[in-house]
Amino acid sequence: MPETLRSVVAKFYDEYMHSTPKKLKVVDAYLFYVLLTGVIQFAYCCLVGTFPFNSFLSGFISTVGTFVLGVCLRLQSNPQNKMEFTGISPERSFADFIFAHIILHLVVINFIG
Amino acid sequence: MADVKRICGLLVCLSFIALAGSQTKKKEESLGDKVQQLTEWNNKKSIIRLNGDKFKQYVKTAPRNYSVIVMLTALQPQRQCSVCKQANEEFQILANSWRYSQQYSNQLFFTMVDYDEGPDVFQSMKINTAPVFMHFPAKGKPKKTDTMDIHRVGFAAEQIARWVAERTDLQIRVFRPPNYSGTLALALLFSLVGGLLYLKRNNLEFLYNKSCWGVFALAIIFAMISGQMWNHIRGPPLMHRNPQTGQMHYIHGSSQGQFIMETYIVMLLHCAVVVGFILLNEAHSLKGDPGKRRIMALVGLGCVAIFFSLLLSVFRSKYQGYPYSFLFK
Amino acid sequence: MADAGGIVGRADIKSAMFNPGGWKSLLTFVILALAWLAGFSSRLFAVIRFESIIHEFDPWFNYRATHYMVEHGFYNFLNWFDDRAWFPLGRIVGGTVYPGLMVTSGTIHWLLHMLNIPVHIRDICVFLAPVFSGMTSLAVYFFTKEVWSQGAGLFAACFIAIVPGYISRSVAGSYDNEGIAIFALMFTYYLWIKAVKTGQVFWGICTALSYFYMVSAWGGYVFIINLIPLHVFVLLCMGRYSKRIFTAYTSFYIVGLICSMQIPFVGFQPIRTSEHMAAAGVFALLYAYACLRYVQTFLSKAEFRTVFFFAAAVAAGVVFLTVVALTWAGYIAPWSGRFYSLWDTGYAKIHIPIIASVSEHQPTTWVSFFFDLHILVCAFPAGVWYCIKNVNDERVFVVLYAIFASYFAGVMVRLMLTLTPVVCVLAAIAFSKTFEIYLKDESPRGNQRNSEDGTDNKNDRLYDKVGKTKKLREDRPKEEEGLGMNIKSIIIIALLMMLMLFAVHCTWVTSSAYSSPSIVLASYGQGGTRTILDDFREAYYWLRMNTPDKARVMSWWDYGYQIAGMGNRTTLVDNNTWNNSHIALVGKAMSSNESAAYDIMRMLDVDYVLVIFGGVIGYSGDDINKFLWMVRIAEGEHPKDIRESDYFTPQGEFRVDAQGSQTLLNCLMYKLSYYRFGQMQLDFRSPAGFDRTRGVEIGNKNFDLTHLEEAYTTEHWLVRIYRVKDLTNREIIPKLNKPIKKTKRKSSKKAKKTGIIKKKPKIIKGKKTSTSSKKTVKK
Repeated sequence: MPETLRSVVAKFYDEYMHSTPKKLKVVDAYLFYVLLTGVIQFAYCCLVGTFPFNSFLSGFISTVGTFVLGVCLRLQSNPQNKMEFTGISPERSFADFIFAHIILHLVVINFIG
Repeated sequence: MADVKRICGLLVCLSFIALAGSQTKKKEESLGDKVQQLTEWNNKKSIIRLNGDKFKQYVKTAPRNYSVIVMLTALQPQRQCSVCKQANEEFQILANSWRYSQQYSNQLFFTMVDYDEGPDVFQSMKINTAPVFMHFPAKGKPKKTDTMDIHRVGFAAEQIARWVAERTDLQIRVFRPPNYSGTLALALLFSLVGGLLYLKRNNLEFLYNKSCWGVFALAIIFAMISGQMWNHIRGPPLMHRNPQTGQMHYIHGSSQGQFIMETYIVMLLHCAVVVGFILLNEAHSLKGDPGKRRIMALVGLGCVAIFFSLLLSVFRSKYQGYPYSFLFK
Repeated sequence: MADAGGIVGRADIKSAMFNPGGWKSLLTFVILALAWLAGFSSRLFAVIRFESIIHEFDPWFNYRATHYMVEHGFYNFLNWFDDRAWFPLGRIVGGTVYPGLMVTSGTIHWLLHMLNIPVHIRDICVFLAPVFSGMTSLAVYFFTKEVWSQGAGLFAACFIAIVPGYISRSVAGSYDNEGIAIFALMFTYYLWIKAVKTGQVFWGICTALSYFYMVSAWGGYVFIINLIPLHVFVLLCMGRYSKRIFTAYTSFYIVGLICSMQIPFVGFQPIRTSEHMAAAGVFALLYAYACLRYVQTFLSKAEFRTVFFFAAAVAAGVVFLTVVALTWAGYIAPWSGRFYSLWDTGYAKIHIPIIASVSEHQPTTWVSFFFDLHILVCAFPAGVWYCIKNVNDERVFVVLYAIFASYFAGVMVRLMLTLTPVVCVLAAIAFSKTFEIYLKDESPRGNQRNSEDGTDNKNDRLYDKVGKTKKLREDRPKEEEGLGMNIKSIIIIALLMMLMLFAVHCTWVTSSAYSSPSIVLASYGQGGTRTILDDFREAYYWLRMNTPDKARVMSWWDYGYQIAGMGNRTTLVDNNTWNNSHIALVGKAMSSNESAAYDIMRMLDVDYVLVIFGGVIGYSGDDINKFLWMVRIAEGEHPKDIRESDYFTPQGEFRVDAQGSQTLLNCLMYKLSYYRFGQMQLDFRSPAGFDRTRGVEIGNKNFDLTHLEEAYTTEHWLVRIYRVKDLTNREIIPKLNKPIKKTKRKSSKKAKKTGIIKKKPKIIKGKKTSTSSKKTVKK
């Protein structure tokens, strides 16, 4: 099982590097960075405690929120998905992305205490 | 001769004294004995069955340092007392809870007297109904509140436990054996669904059949709209017979209650109206000769109008003062 | 040239006049405006009959809170600690209230005052619900337009404007959360449907913002946060997954989550309680599914299968274990009692009697359904059928909403309100479909219009080929849809009559059942004369004017909000019922005899006691009828002192006449209700002290109160206020009847002298005394 799993993962990695366009790879790198931030935050919380719980929560949800919105942006900008998102140009998806981020960060700043 | 007489007299006296002594010993021992005997019986069964003599001995005569809860009932089938059976089950649950609780002691015993085993008990207490729950305290005579008022609070195990706590200050936590019928029913349902899916695993088309799902959804909605949840919670009777005139009433007189029959009637009426609507719409898209379609449309309209008017008139009969009606009053 | 120009010009105007798009929008606008107007005016019955005041009980607290906010500002309102409620305890208003309603009224007030239109806050509060009902019609119109069509939308808007199920909670004067919550609900659902349809993040965020408004407005937001994940889950099960759903749900969930936690009352509940766990679970599930689908595009089927099993097993196991562990460890609270009682219907009666005693929490009979929804409840299953037959993503949502809302409405009468919008939508779909079929102009006329230019040809043909005309005429009926104009007209007219009956029913129901401000009672005598019983306000105004500002008033919790709102006095318990022990204490005071009650009242520092008594006018909602609930609640906390069985006769009846139990006839509630009532003879046929509500002559008539004195009784004896007397100056120790023993007093002349020492030892010089224990003087 692990043998085939490793080979599957290797194959997946190769295919990914070859077939995805550069724009999407940039977005993917950004998403990976956000994921790392989230992991660090969670580890900190587990180690040190959750004392100002609303601050921890607002920070963590901010991370998860940026990740989610980044994923949505990637989905909508991927030319393969054009059939599913009829009538949404990449510019429109980016504008939505900015709008969503404004709302998200306004609420996060209010919640952080 | 006189010696013999004297010896006889002495012997008689001695025997009397011995007898009297043994009697008193019996009396003195009898408290410890009684408790022991009762505890022994209790170990075998949670509810101790008493007949007339045992009742007199253990419950009526002093000395006692324990309270007794007596259920006077009539469980023989020829007595036809269904309430007694239900009360017996609840009493059994309570006695079991007491028996296995942490506060179990020999301060309190649960007993019962069946009418056929101890009719004299019923006569002496002047009781001619069943079931009756009575509490005999350790000291003193039982008062009026030592008879439980079943008419007001019912005979649920929790209510009996509350009454016992009131009388004896002993809190009994009622432990109902977990009712597995719910889990069993759910397991049965899952196995049925699983079996059905397995049998039809090659041909899953029926899952995509929209009419199937439509009927299922509509069934749930009809059940809810006709008030089945009210029936489930309040448990009304099926219908009501007027005792004076002997006439059957299917529909409850006021808007605060309903009978089960009534909800079925209402469900059918709702169903008919919906069927009428669907017929009305289908009549148009059906391919066939126009005469048939015309008839279908008219039948649909008739369904809607007539059954809606029926529903309205049933509503009027429950809601006095409602001024509007459609086709019939 | 000019002629041609003129002809062209006229043709232009003609084409402009016949522009269907323009007419359509005008018609839509007019219909929606009329629906708003109809909804608004239908809710004004109470205002026209009586005056513009706040009704019922709960709205008085909302009004008082809004008034406070307008006076002191928003931040002071959020941090308000109310020390004039729940007397010794106080209430943290900022953290225990849904601020949406107050903020909405406050904003409108601020806007109007900025424009220099001086409207008093009370008028805004009274008329807020009717205005919002018009906005609800708009929201329902847009919702139905997205789900079905514009015609259905118009039907739905008209239905929801007048349907009694919604009017009951949003009449003018009923200033309560539901008035704006239903608007927020339908608007959120509309935005969600838009999001699912288009897949744009913009609509997802808008849904989250509207959800935030709903969370601030009503506790029923739990319905939204469970229905939307359920919709996504069912779509996944049906195999209708698409990236649009993914984008819509994930963006809505995460922004909605953090927005909902901004309300202090909600706090951290969205990640702590079981009611919100479904949404989080579906979020995780959706991500897992999307991930798997993404990986699937790269791999072949066999390879994918290995990954799939491995990943699915790991993921499912991890999630399940986490949830179970967190619930067991107590981090995630189980379902709260209010919502759990919707599944396990027997739960509330045993464990939370206060919830069970509210009349709105009872299950629903079919009569209530029909009364509130009339023909809509008969027609909406047809709408469900058609939604299932022509299924797509949005219609799955509507069907789910209908099924779950009908279950909840069956369990609790109050939740009929959440069923009403979806019933309107689905009935509108059914009617719209029917009308569309039967109102459509059939093909022959259509052919004629199309062939306007070719009429000459047709005429030629008719004239030329006589033989063929017969065939044409025969063909035409067969080409027709087959249902003649007669049948169509009959059907249309019948349906229209039923709809008119619906409108008439709605007006009748609104006028008779839902338009009574329970604070003012009206009775109609012979010939339609009307007597108004304004006792409540009379009593509260007396309290306001004639008692010191810091006075404390004890009454049963029903009237707490009204006393605080109109009388402006400190109360002990009110409708919030958050502290059961405190209520039990008040209940114990009302059920005990006067001395024991006086002790409790001194302990709680009560100055006035307020009691509602309906015996003079036959008002059946008075305190004696509620008395058993007081006893039950008191017994729950003090089982040794209060026993419910003491208040019944030996036969088990609750009677206030001479056969009533002695405990009942001497308890405080009885005495306060019937003080001096024994001297009152209502009419010559009945004896003195005849209680009209219970229909009996009272048992304990001529008694006096020792620790209280009557302060005020209103005109129809409906409200009675008593003042608690202070402790007496001297404690009067009652004389004991001890017989005085006459003892003979030995009088000796010697004893009469004062200062005589008894048992004086005889001291002779030189000799030892008999009882000496001291050291003798050694010679």
